[in-house]
Amino acid sequence: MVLWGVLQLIIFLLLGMFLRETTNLPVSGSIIGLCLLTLYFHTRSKPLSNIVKNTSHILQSLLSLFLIPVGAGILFYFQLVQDQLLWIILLLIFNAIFTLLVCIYTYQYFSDAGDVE
Amino acid sequence: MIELILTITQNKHFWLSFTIFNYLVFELLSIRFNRPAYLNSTLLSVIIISVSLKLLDVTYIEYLEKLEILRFLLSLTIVAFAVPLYENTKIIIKNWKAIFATLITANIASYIPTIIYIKYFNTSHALIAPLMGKSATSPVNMAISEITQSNISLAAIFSISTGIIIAIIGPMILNILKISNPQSRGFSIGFAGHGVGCAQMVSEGQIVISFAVLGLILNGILTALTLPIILNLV
Repeated sequence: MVLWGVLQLIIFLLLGMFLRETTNLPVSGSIIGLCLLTLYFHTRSKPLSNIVKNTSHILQSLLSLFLIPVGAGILFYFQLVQDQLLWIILLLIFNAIFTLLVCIYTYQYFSDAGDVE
Repeated sequence: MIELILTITQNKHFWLSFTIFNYLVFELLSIRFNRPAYLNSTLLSVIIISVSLKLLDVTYIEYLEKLEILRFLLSLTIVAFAVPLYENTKIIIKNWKAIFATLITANIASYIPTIIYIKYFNTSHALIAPLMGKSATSPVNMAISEITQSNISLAAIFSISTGIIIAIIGPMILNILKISNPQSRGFSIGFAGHGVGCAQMVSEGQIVISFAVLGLILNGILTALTLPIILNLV
């Protein structure tokens, strides 16, 4: 019955895409669909069915496969910034590490203040 | 021999099969060596596929058209993240202060190195928005680049590259710093490494993944709100 779980996800994805089209929000339809599905779960009194949980787990475990087509364009598009390529790569690496460190230390600081369960 | 290769590659299912094959090979290798960061199946598959496309003279657009199904499944997976998000609602609410403080601080901090770079290198207008929004998930960065009439493709690539960098070095940094708190591990990687980062954390359990998704979403929303303001100031 994984298909039933997939169908539910498709319905929320389509709803998200419809809302994105009609409202011009700068967020993808899938993210809107995710927010809508989370809200829907909260409005239900029943616990989550195993069908939905299993479908979600199967898809999550394959996420890195689904990202390959989007990433495969790197070689093509980086040619557009050939003159600054090295500096841009260095910026991407430095910025990523810097943001991650700020995230880690801020979260740790406020967690240490007694906020984490 | 060359003719045979060309015939095989022209089959409409070739690139889908080739992508899955690459992913499987690198996944098995990664599992065999206990998942080291350098054996990232996404990154290695991306490299092999990009080089193959170049060698076989196939355009990226042609490749994307043949892998429409994987892009659709990617969208479905994002919607499916509602499950861990819902299941961990109580823990998320309980940690709202840490989440809120990290969100604001890290969002502002993520712009600083790029602002310095833009000022120092006198970067062209088409590159400013894609570079500034690279810490947000690619759909958000692409949408902002579209509004500001910048290069949308570069916006996607900068965001994804940032995700790949975090997926490779993020877990290493967390381990070196001995960060064991699953909320902190998930939120930091999701915030800084969005989709690709989240994929890397799937093996760490549902609390980590729900915080990673939360980081991804909240950073996306906040970037969509703050980046247009910052772009006016830069």
